[in-house]
Amino acid sequence: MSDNLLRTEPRKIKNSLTMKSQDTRHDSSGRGGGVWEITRLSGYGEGVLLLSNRTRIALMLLFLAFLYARVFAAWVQHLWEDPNYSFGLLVIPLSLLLVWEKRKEISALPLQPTNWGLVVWVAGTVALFAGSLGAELFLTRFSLLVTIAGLCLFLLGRRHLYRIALPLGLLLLVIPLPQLVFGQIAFPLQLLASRLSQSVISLVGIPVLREGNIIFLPHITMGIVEACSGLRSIFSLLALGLLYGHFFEPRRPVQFLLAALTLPIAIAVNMLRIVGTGVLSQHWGKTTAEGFFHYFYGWAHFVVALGLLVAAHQLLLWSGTFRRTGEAK
Amino acid sequence: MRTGRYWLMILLLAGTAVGFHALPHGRSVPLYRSLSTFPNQLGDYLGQDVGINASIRSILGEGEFLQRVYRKRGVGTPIGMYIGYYPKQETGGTVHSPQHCLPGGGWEPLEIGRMQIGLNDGRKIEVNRYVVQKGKNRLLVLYWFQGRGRVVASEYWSKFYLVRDAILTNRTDGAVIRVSAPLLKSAAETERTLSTFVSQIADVLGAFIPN
Repeated sequence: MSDNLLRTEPRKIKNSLTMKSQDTRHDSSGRGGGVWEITRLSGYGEGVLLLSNRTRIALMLLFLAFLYARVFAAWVQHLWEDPNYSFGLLVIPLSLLLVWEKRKEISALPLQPTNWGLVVWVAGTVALFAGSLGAELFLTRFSLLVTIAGLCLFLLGRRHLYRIALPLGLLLLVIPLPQLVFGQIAFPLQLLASRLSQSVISLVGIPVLREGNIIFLPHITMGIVEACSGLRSIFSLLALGLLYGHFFEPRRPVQFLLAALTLPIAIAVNMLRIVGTGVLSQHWGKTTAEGFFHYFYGWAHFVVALGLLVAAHQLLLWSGTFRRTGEAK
Repeated sequence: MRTGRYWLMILLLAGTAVGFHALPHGRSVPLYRSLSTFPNQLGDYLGQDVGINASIRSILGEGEFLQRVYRKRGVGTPIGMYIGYYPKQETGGTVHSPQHCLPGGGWEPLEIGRMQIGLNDGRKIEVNRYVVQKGKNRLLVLYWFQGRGRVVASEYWSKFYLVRDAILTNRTDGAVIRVSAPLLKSAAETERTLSTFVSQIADVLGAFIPN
């Protein structure tokens, strides 16, 4: 039998005590409306304390908050302090907003809870304990997402999880990678940025010498540090790309394609900053170049990247690669 | 949602919450001897203390730290040595890997790898071999994690053992040891210099870092 998260007839407290149970469904699902009600003993001999769905969710959130309050607070503080992940301060509320926006749609889905949810929840809890004992912050934060997924699967079902996949995915992007992992990914990216920049700058006819991650030009010297690896913008752009796809592109395959395109776009814009600085230094001097370098680090970087993403999207639509009415070819 | 599942979940969450707050905090295990008593003279090497500046000291956390420069017979290539020991590693105070300490000081990574060093007692240990560059200067850095009876190069394994030992023995003490020398002419020669130095200090470290 299919049962929904919300019943359609809310009942008042005083009526439920006198009403003969019109509820012939004995699945004892929660009821909408009211704070809490006591049912009479049903024909099956169950006298259970039912709470309304709102209360149930609230109680569950209370326990989750109890477990994760410190983890969450430390996470937000980390985002505040680490420029690599500050975009997360925007993305967290946006993710919650996405779920809130879909709440009617989600609650209308038929319940198909699965016991696999329990396995997932156990994994999440183990991760929380291991991360707490081993002072591994990534693990504790990741465990929050896994626990939520597990709860969703165990109580609601796969379809519900699918609907919140995007917000969860966005939150995953906002969990700072362990410093070691971040460094190991950034290191080859740094080198790549250095090498590519050197090639492009010399292609444009400017004499350039590179030693490791340091680029020597006639008027300036650029140190391609970890912050120049572009890794920061890769994550934030991916989040942006996912959000953009969600709001402006209804077809899944195209959404994935756009998300995938954020990687080359991020690398390209990062390169643009480095090469642009080099070129500017040649023709307009050191001060202009340095100004460009710092200015382009902020919003300009983002705006250009977003522009490229929108352009790519338009290109895809215009080229008719995907039929307008439906699926990708 | 179904009532049975819901209440089971609440029960499990309640149990988890209780368990979570009953987690033992790692006990603090102090060094056998204070790092300040680390010998200034090691065989042929003569050492000189180089302090750790206050701003760095404040981000290191609770522990004992030592930074010295040793030279063979007082005049050879300067070998930098750093030991950072934590009697208890908790969120906010864990062994910092040179891979994320050095770049902060302007040293950019050039090479990341591993190396085997043979110790005086015949043992071999694996250490991380890290080459960094700052301006025109290059530095060869060797480092490893030592504590609770182990010498580990991999940071991942170090973390794994940390969690394991935290659960099994309630100990989270450990240290990172780093030696470095300027990479002048040949890498092989600098490696030899550092390896010899490492085998010198390896013997001494056992008298300081708890097994």
